[in-house]
Amino acid sequence: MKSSFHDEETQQFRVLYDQYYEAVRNFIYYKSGDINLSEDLTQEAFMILWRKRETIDATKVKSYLYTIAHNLFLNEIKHQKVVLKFNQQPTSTVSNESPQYQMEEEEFRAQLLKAISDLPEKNRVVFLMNRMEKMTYKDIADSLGISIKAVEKRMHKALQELRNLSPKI
Amino acid sequence: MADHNTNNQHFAHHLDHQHHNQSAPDIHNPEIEYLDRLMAGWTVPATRTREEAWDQFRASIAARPAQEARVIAFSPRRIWGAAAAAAAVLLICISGGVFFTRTSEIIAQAGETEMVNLPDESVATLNAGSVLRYSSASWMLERQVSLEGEAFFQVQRGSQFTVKTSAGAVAVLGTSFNVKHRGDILEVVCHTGKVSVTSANSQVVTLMPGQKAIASADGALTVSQVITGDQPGWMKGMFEYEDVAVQDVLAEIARQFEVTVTYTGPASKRFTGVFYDHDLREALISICDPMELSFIFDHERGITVSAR
Repeated sequence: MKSSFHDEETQQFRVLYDQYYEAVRNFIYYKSGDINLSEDLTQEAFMILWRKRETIDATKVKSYLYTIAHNLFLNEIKHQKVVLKFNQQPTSTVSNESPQYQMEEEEFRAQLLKAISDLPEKNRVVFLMNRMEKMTYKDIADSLGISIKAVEKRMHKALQELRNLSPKI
Repeated sequence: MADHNTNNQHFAHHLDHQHHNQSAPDIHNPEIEYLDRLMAGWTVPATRTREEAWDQFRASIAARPAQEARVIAFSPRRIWGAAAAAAAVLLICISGGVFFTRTSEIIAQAGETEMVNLPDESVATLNAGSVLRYSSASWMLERQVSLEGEAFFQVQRGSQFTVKTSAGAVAVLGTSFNVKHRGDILEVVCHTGKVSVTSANSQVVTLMPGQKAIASADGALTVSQVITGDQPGWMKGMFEYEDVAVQDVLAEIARQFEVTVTYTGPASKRFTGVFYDHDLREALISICDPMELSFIFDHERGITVSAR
């Protein structure tokens, strides 16, 4: 039956969707700081991929998806100040630090978040893909269509800026 | 300001504290470990889960007209119905064009280059201060981009690939070439393969590797031999000129270093030589010295170049 063929195709596509949905949404979020925009553009990127599923080489899906997302984002926004916000999930480590210490840490966390938001977009995105998504430099380079050296450079610059928070970093 | 400093010291103190408390510090990168600790538990503030997003996505692809067309039963008495449905699908596709024909616009700001992966894996590298537009929707039908500024193209083999500028068009099948359209002048250098250049008044010339075509404002085309590597010089930070108006060279300085340059010298000066993009002062000296010009930095980002 043709409809079941369609279902099968949809199921295959779902594997891709599950694999990349969050990564692409977060990628746009790291660029924009706008979660609604990120969710919308991610759907749109997958929609474009879906429509072209028969012409896209399976090995290139990832970089293709990031390229579509990036281009959709470029269409949307011109130079808006990015203010990132993250939800704070409870972490597994039980803290036995003093309340005073915990308060200080909370303060630094806020400073760090602001400093990350203020990074130039390219450096910020690479930094967050690496630290939040735990993507390797190679993986980031492949996704963004840039060289590993360029990833290293952006990462280095991001860390350098964050170091400015304190000479000790 | 004082507050800021206090905060910094605070942060340093905190880091010290942190380092003493680490049982197994990463000797290569303790700061990364600390950053990770601060960032642990951060999640993007999503408004829906992936499952919810998928349900929404599946609903929208299920509603897609082309899928409906697939389940129309094929029987003689339904042929007209099928044809009508097919026509309807076609119409919907056309009216749905708004979604498809969105043009992607990629901008390389001053001081930056941008690498663009086109839908067929062809690559365009934009030089500073350039804009590239293309429609990924119609890409399968027609490989076409429009360019303002300068870009180096590495084109995958396939159907004709066209770069449109307001001064003329460049068409290739699969090759690498540089297109520079600044002011009124369109300059095309062929690195590999064959490149066809059509000027604004429809003159056509085919370039072989190592050839350069210049289309001037009146549409006239001239071809010359140049020395090319596998990449244009600008991709390696080198800007070479042969008998080019000084204003045009200074315009490139402005794009590369993200500065504004005002030129008050004689309009007739022409420059032959090279500058590199790593040091602004050096670059200005290499242009101004042989031309007997001088330059001053007026304020933070403004430069005035004048006769000595």
